Amino acid sequence: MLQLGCKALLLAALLAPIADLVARGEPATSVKDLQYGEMLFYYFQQDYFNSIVHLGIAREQQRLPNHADEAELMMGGLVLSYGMRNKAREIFQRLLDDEKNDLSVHNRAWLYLAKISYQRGDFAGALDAIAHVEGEMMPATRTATANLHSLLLMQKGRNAEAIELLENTRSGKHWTPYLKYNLGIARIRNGEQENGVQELVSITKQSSRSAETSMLRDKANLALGYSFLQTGETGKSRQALEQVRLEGPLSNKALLGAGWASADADDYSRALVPWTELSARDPADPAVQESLLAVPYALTKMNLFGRAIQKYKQSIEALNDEKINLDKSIVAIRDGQLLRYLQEYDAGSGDGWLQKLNLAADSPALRYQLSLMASHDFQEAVKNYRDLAFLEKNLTKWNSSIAAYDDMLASRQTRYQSQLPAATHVLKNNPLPALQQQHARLQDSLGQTEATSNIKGLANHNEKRQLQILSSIEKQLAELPDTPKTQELHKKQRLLYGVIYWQLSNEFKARLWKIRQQLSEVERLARQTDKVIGRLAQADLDTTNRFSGFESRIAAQKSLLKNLRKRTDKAIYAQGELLQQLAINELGAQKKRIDIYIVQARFALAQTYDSSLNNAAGRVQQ
Amino acid sequence: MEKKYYLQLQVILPAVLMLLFSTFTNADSTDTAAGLDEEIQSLKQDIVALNRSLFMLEEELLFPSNTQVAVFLSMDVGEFFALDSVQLKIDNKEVSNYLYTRREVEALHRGGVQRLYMGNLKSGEHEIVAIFTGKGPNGRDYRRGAELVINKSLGARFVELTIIDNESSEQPDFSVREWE
Repeated sequence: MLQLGCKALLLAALLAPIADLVARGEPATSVKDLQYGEMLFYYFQQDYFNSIVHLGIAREQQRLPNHADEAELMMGGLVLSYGMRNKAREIFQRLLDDEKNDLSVHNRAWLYLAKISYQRGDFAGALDAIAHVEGEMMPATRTATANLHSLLLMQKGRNAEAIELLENTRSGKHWTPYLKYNLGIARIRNGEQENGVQELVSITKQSSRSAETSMLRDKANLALGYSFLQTGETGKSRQALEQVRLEGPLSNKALLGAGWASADADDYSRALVPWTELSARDPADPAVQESLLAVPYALTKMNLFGRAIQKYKQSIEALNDEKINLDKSIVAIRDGQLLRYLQEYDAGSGDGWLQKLNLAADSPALRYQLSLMASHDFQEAVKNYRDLAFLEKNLTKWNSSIAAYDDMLASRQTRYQSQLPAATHVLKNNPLPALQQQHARLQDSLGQTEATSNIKGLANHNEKRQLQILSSIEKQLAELPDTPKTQELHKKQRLLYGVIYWQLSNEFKARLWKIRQQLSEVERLARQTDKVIGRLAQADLDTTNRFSGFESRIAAQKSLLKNLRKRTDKAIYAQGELLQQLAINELGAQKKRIDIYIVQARFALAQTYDSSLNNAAGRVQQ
Repeated sequence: MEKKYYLQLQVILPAVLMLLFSTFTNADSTDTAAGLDEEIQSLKQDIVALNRSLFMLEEELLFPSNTQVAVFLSMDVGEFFALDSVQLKIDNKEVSNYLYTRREVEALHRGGVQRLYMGNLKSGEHEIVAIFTGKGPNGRDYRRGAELVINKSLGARFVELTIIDNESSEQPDFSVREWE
């Protein structure tokens, strides 16, 4: 009786479908806008908070010209993943209301709406939403829809419809062993034992040694084992349960079931093997607590009353010790240890639902974390608490940054003020027009020099001075008497003049080209200066306006930040209280269950004493 | 005797089952949880909006669009190169030296684009050099550089560094390009 009652309970839990599908082998996303890729960088790290923030910024800055259509749908999915169901619902409803959106957008919006209802536990609402998904759809959407729809149908006990749906999806490339598992469970629930078993058996035959596959194999073997147990096929049941890894997270349940399989076949000696192994494990697990009673029960069945009495006594002691542990845990949680532990752990980077708890069970407050985390309510409470812890850190970080903004702004203002007079001077007394006129005059002059082939026009300062000296010497020589010596001097003067003139004449074109180059460079610099002055004029206006804009924006954000920090502090306190209360309630319930086990063990102990005495009396009478 | 034992169990079992089936929330805590959940959703929405405003404010204040330059990193397949770090130099001055986590590399493989650096540059020509360090084909240490000269004018400029698989040489290629 004991086994059968608990067996049915465990069976119901074990024959539950898997709700979360694991994404696999997705091709890399094609990114056409950098900022969309930036959002994906956070999204692929399951950092939903920063994905949402950066997608919002990219949209506001209009930097998603190529991904604008999908951005809204993406935003809806992100906020849903981050637990903002109300906002997600609003977005998807808006997408549905927009007639411009095509069927594929509508389908995905309905699918997300169904997920929101499913997460809220509103299965009827979820079924209603998912019924709107229709027509041709992407393979991934079709599989996701079929999965959620089948889960909802199974929830309502409409297993035959779930089977049909899953069967129709089977051929898609996104079909995974998880869906196959759910199909197997749906078949068993629908009374199609043989077909269901076939589906589950095919999962157990997968050769991959990955952690994910191993876990799924264990799950399938466990479901098979309990299913065979229900149909009285104890040999098959034991065989399946013995395939579950001994060190895996499902091994306790498998050991308990394997014992039942043998006990159902009246092979108590064999049942003792897994039950004894199980009873030596951590008694915090209900399966281990169950085995503490199952071992002496089997011994009683084998008429080993003395050993059974001893075991019952040990079990009662172990269960009492467990109650003490539970009390210690409750005291530690009341003392705030659980919350402190959660706070000390990295609050993650805002990765919402997929935040993983990786707590080491070395503290009384954490001893029962595994059984606590089995509850959806507790999981949600922890996620919310950790999300709040992340938000609190985020606000603290901004609070210190924003304090520096005032200094930065002040420093920019100071720099601006120091440079303003020079800038204003340049703007008021712009030297560029005068320089440009000078440039034009030089251009004209050069043009004339070239047109008239004015070779001396390109002489440099030194050459001009030398030519002047030689002209002056020529005049002086003309006034002197015509003697051989004077003639000699005339000759020298003409020679020197000729050398300079020849040099000028020879270099005329080259000098002309060089000067043109220089004028062209001056022209380029003038244009550049013109642009700089133009920007300066623009910057002058912009900066004046921007300072006052920044000041008011910083002030507004500071006030908002202050308000949000207060709200977050209040919420984190309330959520902490709730989390503690949930944990304490659960541990209290576990204590009550142990109390019942203890009563049961004491009663069985008394019964065993009676049986022992009767047995001895019988032997004496014989 | 056996029958008596089972009868006792039959009395106890329903209580056990009831305890096991029952959730550990009561009506009050469910109401509190629902109310709090609404407030947390609202807080998330407001803090997301605040972050968006503050990031934009920060960008405008620290990196005005006239001088803004942002450098992004992406991967095109990237099977021939296991990225460890990227060193970024602008005009021969190191502006970033980023070490990647496994999760970040995985996100890049899946199509994510990382904003590696954001800073200010004056108008004119600037040389951007990126040095990629990691493991190349056959697990060998690999260090390669890529460079680009950009002509910074008015308006924000975006530069993308990409690690590409060269299928013909079975080696990684590294490119730098400027987005218009």
